[in-house]
Amino acid sequence: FANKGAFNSPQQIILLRFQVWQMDIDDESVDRLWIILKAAIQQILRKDTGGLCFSELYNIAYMLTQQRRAMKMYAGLKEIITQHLSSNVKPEMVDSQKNNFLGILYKTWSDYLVEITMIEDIFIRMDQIYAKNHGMDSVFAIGVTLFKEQVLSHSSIKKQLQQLLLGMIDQDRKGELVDRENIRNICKMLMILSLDGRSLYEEYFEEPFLSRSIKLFQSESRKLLAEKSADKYLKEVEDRIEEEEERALSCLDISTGERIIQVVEQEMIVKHMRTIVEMEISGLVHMLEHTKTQDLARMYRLLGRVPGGLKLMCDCMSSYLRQRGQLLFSQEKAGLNPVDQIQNLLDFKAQCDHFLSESFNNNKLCNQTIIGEFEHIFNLNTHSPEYLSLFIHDKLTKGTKCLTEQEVESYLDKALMLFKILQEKDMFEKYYKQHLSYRLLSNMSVSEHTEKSMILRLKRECGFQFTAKLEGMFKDMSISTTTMEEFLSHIQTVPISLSGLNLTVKVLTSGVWPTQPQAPKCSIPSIPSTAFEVFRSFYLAKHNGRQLMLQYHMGWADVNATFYGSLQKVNDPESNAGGAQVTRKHILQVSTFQMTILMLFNNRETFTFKEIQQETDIPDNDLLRALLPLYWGKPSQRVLVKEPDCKQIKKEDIFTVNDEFSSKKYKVKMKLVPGKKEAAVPQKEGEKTRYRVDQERKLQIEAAIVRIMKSKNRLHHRALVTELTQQLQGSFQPSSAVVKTCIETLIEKEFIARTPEDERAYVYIA
Amino acid sequence: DAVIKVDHAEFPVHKIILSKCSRYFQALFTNWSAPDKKVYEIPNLSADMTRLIIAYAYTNTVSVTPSNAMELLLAADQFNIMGIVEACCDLLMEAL
Repeated sequence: FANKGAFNSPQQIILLRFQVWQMDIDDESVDRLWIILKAAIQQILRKDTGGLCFSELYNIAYMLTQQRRAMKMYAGLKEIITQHLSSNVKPEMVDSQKNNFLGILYKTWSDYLVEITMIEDIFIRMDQIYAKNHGMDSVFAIGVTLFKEQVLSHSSIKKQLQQLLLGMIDQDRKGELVDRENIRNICKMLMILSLDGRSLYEEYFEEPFLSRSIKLFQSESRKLLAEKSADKYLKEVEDRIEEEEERALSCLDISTGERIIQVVEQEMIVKHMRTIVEMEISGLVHMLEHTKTQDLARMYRLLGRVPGGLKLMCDCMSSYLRQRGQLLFSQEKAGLNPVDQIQNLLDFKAQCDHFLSESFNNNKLCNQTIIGEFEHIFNLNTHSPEYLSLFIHDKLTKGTKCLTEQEVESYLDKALMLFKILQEKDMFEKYYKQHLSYRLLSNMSVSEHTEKSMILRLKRECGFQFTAKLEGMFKDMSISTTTMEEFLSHIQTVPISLSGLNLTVKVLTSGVWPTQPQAPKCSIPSIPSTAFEVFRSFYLAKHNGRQLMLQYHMGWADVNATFYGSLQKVNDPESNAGGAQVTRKHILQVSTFQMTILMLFNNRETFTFKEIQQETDIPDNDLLRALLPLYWGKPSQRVLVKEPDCKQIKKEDIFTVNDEFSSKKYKVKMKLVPGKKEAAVPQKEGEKTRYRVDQERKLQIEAAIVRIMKSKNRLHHRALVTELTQQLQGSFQPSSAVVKTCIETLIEKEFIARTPEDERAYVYIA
Repeated sequence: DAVIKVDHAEFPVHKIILSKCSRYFQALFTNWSAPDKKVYEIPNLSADMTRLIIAYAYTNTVSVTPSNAMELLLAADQFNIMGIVEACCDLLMEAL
């Protein structure tokens, strides 16, 4: 094959190759070469490698492989190694069982590993050509397998190895000082001996280790549970997990980490999680009640590790929230101030949110649970729409609270959170309108800016339609301001006197405001009524074709009042010792009704109730409500005195001006009958609102049904209800009874009809 | 950090580079050698072939020509340099 020229034909190459394989050697030479190799292997196994030359040995093995003597080498090699292991290594290991067995075992193993690697090097070619092509073990695999068969599987060696290893781990768990290096080495050896898998490692170590751990954790759990302390239990489990993880990482095979943690989770969490969560005095409820943020976080972390754990926690939390929430915010607690009730609910929510962020890592399921429960609690109470509106009213009403703008805004944000989960949003709108109109008309609103920011929030949540009327109210207000300015400059140009009266008129668009269709009657005194007529003609001249109607029950007035009586209170430290003032002037802030009543007394000293009724024409209910704060209250602050002096009014009761009226303030605001103000819209009004809302809802439902039927033409009852609920969920949830009556109405009106073949399906009639 | 001696010629090499392309050299330099051993005598290898093999180890390319393919194939096969074996086989297959 010394031919160095270009290959001219394929035949030439084949010829050349043939020449290579033709360089055969005889059997005698093969035997001679094998004896050299055999001696070398034995030398290597005896750790006596001094005189060996790698290149030479490699070349021999290479040549023998090329000469198809691999099989002979392979078998011979196996025999030599087996021989060595069974007659040298095994007896040695059996002998050293008393003394540092694991250490010696590892030393023997690692030496052996070096030897095998060297032998493997010599037989690279054989591995590649022979073993691989015949699907047989490589030299290294032979070495490992033989070690396993000849040494480790010897029963006493196996037993000793397992016992010692597990014993060391027991000691390590107890916190005793253990040669972890040793454990790690043995585990590493077992993994290598498992070759590509981990069977040997499992058989010799992991399986007994895990089953022993199960027993340990079981008894540990039992002991801990007996202490009846969930927080302690969880702490121990968390420590245990950390400890086992660390141990697996530092001295076992890394794959065991996951498995041992699974065992901990199974034995210490899954099996007992219900007991732990529901444990009295220390379980989840206890932690929530006592704001144990850390313990809750730990419970979340641990239960979150196992399937169903979080669900269990959330279920338990659910029932706790429901109980606690109903206690805080239930219908039966009607006596409590609605504003406080809402505040309580918000505080409770804030607490839950604290847990959510600090303990539950803002977990989605936990959040859903909390929101869901609040939704349930909040909507269970039929007062919710009203209370929520009152709460906002309270924050937006000018008064003694002195909240900063930021504080108000944050209250509004919280209120919005409740609004979002409120089902009866239309109901809320009705109340909100009432309260807003009170704020706007009595000039009690904290600021227009804040009002508008609340409206904006509602708009964002529910859309333009929801707030259209509310925004209309603001528009009316600003138009009224302009109108008043124009009016004032108008009366200066014409020779009309308002008799010294400052008139403020707010023109409200009907339908936008929660006005009563029929305003209660009232014969107001001539001076204000003349003044109003001036305004009326001014306004109607500007806006042809409009109608103005006075809403007496919504008006208010500042009245100058002079009291002539002397003060007789001797023990009043603030009054002068000499004598009291004779006349005292005050401005009384009163409602239009009250003004009408009070101005009667300019004409005469006394009036009976019946006379007041006749003179003023005010309906009984409104009159009683207007009178009460005038004659009933702190004796010194009564503007009128009633004879007899009692709360109940009879027709013949006599009223006179209380000249002993006194107040530290110059401007005195007459308290309106509680109920008209914020304590609660009187039950009757509440009922009225509900009735009105119900009527409106019916219309909405009917309209929606017609819309749906028009587009679908034919629909089954159930499908219709589903569609309906979806369309209306922005404002309320229609009850099935109401839906049914609406459907009946529409059938009567022949908008829709039942299909002849199915009673429960409807068709649209064009 | 090592010197390869063949046929009275010497080639300075890095053990790690040769180890990477050949199991033979890897074994020779690690398991079968003291860490401080420097000079390695390789029997049955010509200087020409050694030069090609070393070039291949450093550059991962080898110039196989019809004239050297056969000899190179045998050498590479013996010293377990699979990359060169493949390159030679490719060339020879084409020639077929």
